[in-house]
Amino acid sequence: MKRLVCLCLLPLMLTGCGSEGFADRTYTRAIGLHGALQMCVQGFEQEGCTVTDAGSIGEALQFEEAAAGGRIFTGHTELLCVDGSGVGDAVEALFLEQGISPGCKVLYTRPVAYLQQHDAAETVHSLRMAERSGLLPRTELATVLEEWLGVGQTALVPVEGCRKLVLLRQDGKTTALSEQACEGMRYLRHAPAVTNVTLDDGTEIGIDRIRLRKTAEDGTVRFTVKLRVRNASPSQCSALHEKLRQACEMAVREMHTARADVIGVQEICESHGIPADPLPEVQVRVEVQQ
Amino acid sequence: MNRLDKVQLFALLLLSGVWTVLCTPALDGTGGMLGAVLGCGVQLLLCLPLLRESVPEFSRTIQQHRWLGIVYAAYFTIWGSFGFSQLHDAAPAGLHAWSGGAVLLILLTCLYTSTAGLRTAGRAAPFLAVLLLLSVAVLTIGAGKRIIPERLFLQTEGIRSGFLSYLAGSGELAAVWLLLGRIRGSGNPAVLAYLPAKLGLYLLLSCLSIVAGGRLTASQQYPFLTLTALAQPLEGQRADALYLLAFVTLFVMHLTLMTGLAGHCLTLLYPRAERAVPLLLPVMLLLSRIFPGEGLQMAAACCMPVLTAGGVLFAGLRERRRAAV
Repeated sequence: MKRLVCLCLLPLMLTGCGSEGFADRTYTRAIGLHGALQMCVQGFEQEGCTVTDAGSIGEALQFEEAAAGGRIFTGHTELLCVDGSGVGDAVEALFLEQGISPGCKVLYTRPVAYLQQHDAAETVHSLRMAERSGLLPRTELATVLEEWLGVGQTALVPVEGCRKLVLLRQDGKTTALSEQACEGMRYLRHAPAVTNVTLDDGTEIGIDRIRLRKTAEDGTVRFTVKLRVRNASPSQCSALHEKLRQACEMAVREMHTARADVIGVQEICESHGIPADPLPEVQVRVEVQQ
Repeated sequence: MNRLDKVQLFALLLLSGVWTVLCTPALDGTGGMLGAVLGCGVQLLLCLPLLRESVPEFSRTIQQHRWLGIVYAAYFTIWGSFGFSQLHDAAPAGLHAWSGGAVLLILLTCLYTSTAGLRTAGRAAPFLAVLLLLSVAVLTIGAGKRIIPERLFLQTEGIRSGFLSYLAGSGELAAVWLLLGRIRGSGNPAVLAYLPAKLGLYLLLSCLSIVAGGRLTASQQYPFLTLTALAQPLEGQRADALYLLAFVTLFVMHLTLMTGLAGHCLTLLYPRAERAVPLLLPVMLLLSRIFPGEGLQMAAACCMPVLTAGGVLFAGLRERRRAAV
């Protein structure tokens, strides 16, 4: 009987019944960081954002709590807006000290202006839909932090509008990728979930399956993108092959120019015993099969 | 000390062992994992003298060689104080809901459980082991979304440091001789199950840290705790409360076991000392404040092999000599 009572009481410990009321807490939906350090916070069901200037993340959150009149919980933050003002340390502190979700989306924009004018929920929804349809490679806080810890110290971050990408260094230096390179990045980060590709002449080709293979031979890293298409003529396959090859090569070229690694070259080098610094040559191969 | 059964013994050893695993300060890659496998093999060798048919009884040996009882009591006190040191260092690393009030609550809980005795802890241990497994399952599901298989490749670097680190984190092994004398029937299956179970959990956590955590966990001082921050299985609900519960539970069980064991040794030597057993907790806390954590771990790690196998071998030799005389 005692065990049964204890087992029934145990789940009560996990409900937070003893903690403060829901209305006494502010749950942040989006956080924007600029410089050292301006932080703006947009809560759930809140329009606009509150802006705070402080010396550190902890201090900024204390000021926000004073302004909001209650505790701030950042664990459900869905969007993190950053710019090129070198907020890398602040982002790391947000994750390690404040417990922001590792799946939080990161967006390159003017943080304060963007959050004052846009609803973070719509932005997050747009980013997720773009990733699901293969328009954008998957990026989130965990991948950004990890890429900043890599050899290139550069992360791939989507830009406001959910169409373009930038290479953002931890110190704030930014390199915008061309449209062709952005398309190539979609295939080199991981196999995207696209169901069709549009050629330059407007023809749509259906895609059954996409595979990405990463290998290393003779000191060279090779990325092979294999596509299985349906109902495409040989000339269309050839055009698709050429388009993707150029896009992937452009992505690699622009990435090399920025001395970045956002496609996992370092992991391939380490697993094959190849020095990752400086990053070796990356060859791209595209195979289109019917 | 009251009797335990095999399942309770297994759960107690596992919970105490996993506490140290969770507070592993650094990872050595797949080389470290290989080193841990070798370390487990050495642990099995150290336990062989304890798994024989006729093992000298711990209590009788202590009463005949009182200095040995003091050594064991001191060892368990040092290992418990190292636990406090680990709590102080590791807790803020991955568990953000940390405060002075929380520490006080934990201390009070440890005080209560240490006065309740090992029998009570033994009864709770199997349930808490299930909680541990549930946490590991949630962690695995949460980390599974971030797995990049290319990160896992065989390395020979780190085998030695992984071996030493795993062996140095196995202080609970010295408790096996004492606990085997207090269970119903043979405790060998429990010990033989606990060794691979602890190794399996260590390998799983290491593997997840490498393939899911990558450079993020490798760069942090307590990689398994950082892994809990990464491993969130649901978007709308965080699993931090479960991880925090598992973390605190492991610490409480670890301290309860060490306090109970040290107290049992002292009680065998000085029966009136039974009431003073809860005082061991502030002694452990004081030692953790005075001495650095690495020093406490080094001292315990050097003694562990001797106390695990050496103690029982010494007792066996003395009994044979006495029988021969």
